[in-house]
Amino acid sequence: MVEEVMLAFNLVFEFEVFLAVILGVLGGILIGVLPGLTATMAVAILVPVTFGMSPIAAIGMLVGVYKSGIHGGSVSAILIHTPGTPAAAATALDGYELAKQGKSLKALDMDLYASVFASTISALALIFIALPLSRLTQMLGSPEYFAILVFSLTIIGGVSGRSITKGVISGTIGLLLSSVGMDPMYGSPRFLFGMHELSGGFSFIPLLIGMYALSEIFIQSEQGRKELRKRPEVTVDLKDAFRKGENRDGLLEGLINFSKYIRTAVYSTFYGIGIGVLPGIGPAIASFLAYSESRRRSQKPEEYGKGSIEGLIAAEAGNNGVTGATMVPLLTLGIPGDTTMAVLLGALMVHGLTPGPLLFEENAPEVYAIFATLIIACVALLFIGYLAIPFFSRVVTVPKAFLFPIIIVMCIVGSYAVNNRIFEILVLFGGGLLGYVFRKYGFPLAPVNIAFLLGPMVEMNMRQSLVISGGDPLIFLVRPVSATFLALTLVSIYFIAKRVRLEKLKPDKT
Amino acid sequence: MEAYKANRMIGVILLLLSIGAWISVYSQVQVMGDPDMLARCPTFFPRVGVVLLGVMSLVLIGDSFSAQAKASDEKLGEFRLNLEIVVIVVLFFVYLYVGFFRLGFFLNSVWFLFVLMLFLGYRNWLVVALVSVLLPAVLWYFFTEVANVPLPRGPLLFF
Repeated sequence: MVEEVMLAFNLVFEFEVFLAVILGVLGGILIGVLPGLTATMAVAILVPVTFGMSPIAAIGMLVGVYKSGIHGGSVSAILIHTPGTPAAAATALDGYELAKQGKSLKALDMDLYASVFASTISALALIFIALPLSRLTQMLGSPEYFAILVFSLTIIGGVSGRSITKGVISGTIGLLLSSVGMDPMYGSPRFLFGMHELSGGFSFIPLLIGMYALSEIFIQSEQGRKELRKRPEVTVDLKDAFRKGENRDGLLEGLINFSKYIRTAVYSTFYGIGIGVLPGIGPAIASFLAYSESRRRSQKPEEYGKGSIEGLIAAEAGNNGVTGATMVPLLTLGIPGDTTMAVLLGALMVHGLTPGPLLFEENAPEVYAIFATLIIACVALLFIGYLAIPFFSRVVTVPKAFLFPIIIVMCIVGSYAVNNRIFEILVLFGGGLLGYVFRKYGFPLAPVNIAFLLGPMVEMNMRQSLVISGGDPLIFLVRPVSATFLALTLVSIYFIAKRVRLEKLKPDKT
Repeated sequence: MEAYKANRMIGVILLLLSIGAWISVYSQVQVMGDPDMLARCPTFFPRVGVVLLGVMSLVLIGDSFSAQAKASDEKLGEFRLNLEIVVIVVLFFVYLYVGFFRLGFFLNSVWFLFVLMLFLGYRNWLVVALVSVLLPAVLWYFFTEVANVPLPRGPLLFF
């Protein structure tokens, strides 16, 4: 292991890696700050940009984008009461109130410290959970792996939308889309419809960029030009705050002030970590759970929602606590817990690293190097985030009429770069159309993408298991681990169905 | 459209799609190796997916007939295909099929950015002009020189 760690140091201590992480953090903050642009979209659009980089620099850049994108989403929540990412909705509750009270700089600073603190602890948790877990996962065979994949897909399909039926339909469409192309065991063509471009299947990156970025542009374009050219109104102008001499703490002083709320930050982070390791739940739920738990424990619960620093820190720590932990199932089992992780899975594969039980055995130095980039990204976020705060009020008001054409060109060039084919741009457009229709009819997008990525793995493990057993499906039930996970799948379906039923029975608040 | 009607409609469409996919699956290669072993069949997995899609479509249609679904005031499937979306789509395909290989990536992106920004209402001409030239140039440099992706060249020698 010592040798592998030394190799990892060699991989990380390259100028290219540090530059990539710093650029990633900068890009993530910029995109996260813009309302309507999510961290997932940022990571997806930037994957093609990493093609020429070393795997560690590439993943470091994307990890930087993800971590800072989640933090950036809170900035617009504080300044214009519009969460840049869904995960920042809880931050808006107290952050915006603080800004209205003339404490915008304090709110942004505390938000940054909470983000960095939770991200760092979450990255350390990833290291401590993933390493022992990887040793266990190396003992899994294909029946066990199949059962775990089915369990994860059930959770993701069940919790990512308001309707379990629509979640499962989305996941099934993802599985069917993944079966287009050559059969993974024998190479027989499937669903080609005479188009040779489909023989390699649909490329994940253009499909995903289309579903998230292009469909978002279509939906927001429905507002018309009048809305698109409008600059979001900043209730709190940071320039004014600086001019009026609103007292801003130095970095060290700010960190000391933050330490007064360390108890809240710690348990909120652990809420985030707990939720992060479970596939499909995500940072938005983590931040609300941490927020409500913090209010329950607080000595001043009446201040929550009216500008409580404690509430702001709880929401942000819960939100960012997810960021490292959500990589546990990704790296150890190859199961992406959310859509951003699905993009990261695609990126890892593009760079020759296949997440799953063998990753820690075959690419141990690279894995340790990725862990190191997570910590570097947290440190970079602290300094870049601190220095960037004065510029936020300008960035947050960039009109969509200016942004959308730029995003479309980046989507096109990024999709083309995947295989240097115009067909990928058509896949981008198809993905955009599919995402647009799905959103309009209330189908969640995350299960499509995750099932699309996991589809070949599910198929391979299912068919390999059946070949081993001579076609007997009982192989999934006689092995204890796979039987346990299949039983858990049934239990989770029962609870998800029960939750949906209870929600339907609730009287309408309106 | 009321949610229950939209769900019913989309359920029927998905059911028809699953039937079409089922027929398509059966018209493809069925068995490789041992004919008695279903797992060897390349279409086994798509068949499982198609059946699941069909069943879930029926569940969606069934749900839409419940009294609870009819009582909901949720709206779904309301598209507003306005001029902005139509222009974005038209320009997208003009960019792709008319310009991408004839003008090359750089020139094609310059006009696309310029026209679309102005059309969507961003009126700062200087910024529009600068971004329309600089962004494609940066992307060109990055992809061709750093990432070694051969983007289509146009009539300009250096782009």
